[in-house]
Amino acid sequence: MKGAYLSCRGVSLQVGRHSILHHATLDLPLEGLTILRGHNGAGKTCFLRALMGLLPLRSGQLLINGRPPVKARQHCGYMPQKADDTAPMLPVISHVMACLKGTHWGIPLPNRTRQKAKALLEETGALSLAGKPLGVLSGGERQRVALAQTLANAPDLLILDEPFAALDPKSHEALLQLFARLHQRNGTNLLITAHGPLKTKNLPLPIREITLKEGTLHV
Amino acid sequence: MSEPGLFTFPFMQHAFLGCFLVSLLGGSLGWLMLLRRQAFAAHALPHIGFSGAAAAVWLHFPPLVGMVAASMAGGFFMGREQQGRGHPAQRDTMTGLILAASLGIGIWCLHEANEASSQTTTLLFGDVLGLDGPTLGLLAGLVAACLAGVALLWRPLLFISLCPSLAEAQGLSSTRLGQLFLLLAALAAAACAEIAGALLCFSLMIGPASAALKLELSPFRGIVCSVLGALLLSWGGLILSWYSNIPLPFWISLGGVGLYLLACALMKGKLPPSKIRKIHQN
Ligand SMILES: Nc1ncnc2c1ncn2[C@@H]1O[C@H](COP(=O)(O)OP(=O)(O)OP(=O)(O)O)[C@@H](O)[C@H]1O
Ligand SMILES: [Mg+2]
Repeated sequence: MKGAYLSCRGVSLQVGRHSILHHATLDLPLEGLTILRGHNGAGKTCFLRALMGLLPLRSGQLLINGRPPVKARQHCGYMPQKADDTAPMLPVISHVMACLKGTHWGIPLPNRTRQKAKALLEETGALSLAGKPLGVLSGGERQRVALAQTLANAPDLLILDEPFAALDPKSHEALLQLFARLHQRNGTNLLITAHGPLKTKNLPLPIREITLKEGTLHV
Repeated sequence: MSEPGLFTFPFMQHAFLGCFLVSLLGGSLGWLMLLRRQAFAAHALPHIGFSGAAAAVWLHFPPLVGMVAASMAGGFFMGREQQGRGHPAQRDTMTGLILAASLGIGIWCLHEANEASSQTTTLLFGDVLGLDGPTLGLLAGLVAACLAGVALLWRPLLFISLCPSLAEAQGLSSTRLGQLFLLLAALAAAACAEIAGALLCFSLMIGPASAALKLELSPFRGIVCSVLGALLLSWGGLILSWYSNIPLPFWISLGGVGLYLLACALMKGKLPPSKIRKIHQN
């Protein structure tokens, strides 16, 4: 998706008594990889949830490619900071299969869905985990499965909350390469949060850092 | 002269057919309910249905109609009050309160109906040997409607049960889906209660399903396994109760526990030795 962008029009976002954004008005291109920074509790997760339409705004308007979140989210893939652990006894592959066209009615064709799920797991380097129950995975393994789930419906915009949190240095590299591959092959753009430094120097995709601080987005 | 076989009696044929029908429902809906951690709801729904049946007895309706209506109303309100997955405690509170209130109403209805003894026993313990043709037809209709509903809801239901935060981010509502599902579960519970009785019908839903989940199977295989388990319990229970003269629900409920223990033993045998060593070391 070329020319992805995010517009905030007087956006105020508040959770409990905590003000996350205060009358923010800005236009932000999301081409390539956009890294959202900010200290613990700055409100990054809340901001991403608002982008997915999961958190109501106090005032103002938020638009992704000119559309409000509830319309735009069909083309977005969201990976929450804390992965779900509601059905730990089911195999990994079932968890990925459930995400493939999960909002449609009826029963899917099992074989086709399974093949697609396997391809997704292979993409994120988690194919060897397909038969394991989800509950036994390590933190980094779970993260890779979560990423496969997020990729399920070929989103144009990936919104990933701390995708590097549980990864070892080698997997860091691999994930950045995956981002570049997705961008080059499918034109996928990414908005992620991260704390540590990222080795993005030679990565063949545009990179931008933004910071959320004291209710303001610094571009 | 040799003793006639148990299949020669029409009431026994009806009983086997009825057991087949409710096993289809109990196995599949039970698996989904356990997956969604709604064992308490599975326990409560048939009891709520019991009160509806009691009211029907009083008002001279067929008990099954009252049972379906009451458990569906119960399922509807339980699902309504289920404020997402953030408050599981709240959900159980609502289920408990609805259960308590409906049992109270049920007792009052039975009191008013003034024919408590035999009818109550039938409602509580089921009457698998008393199934007549029309009841079987009604049961088959219920089963078909319920399974069609599950098939229709299958994808979103699985999505919201396995990956709630991803599903919500795609616009699915966990409250609304949970409510629809509980309506189906209520239908299933009413149908199962007709056979196994309100008191023990949830053992047909919970026993085989818990064993199937223990086996860590994929959803499709898990449900097939759970349905087969339910069939084994109900048919096996029928045969055993014929020869032992102990009521069917006894065999179903103990058999369910047996199935779960069997699944545990199977899973223990499945672990490779190296892994067991690792577990012991940790
Ligand atoms: N539902 C809620 N009710 C009240 N306060 C909340 C709620 N959700 C989040 N907060 C508060 O909002 C603030 C921002 O939380 P958020 O999770 O967005 O931070 P974050 O920037 O993602 O932090 P981290 O880097 O640790 O992930 C925190 O202080 C948190 O305690
Ligand atoms: Mg966060």
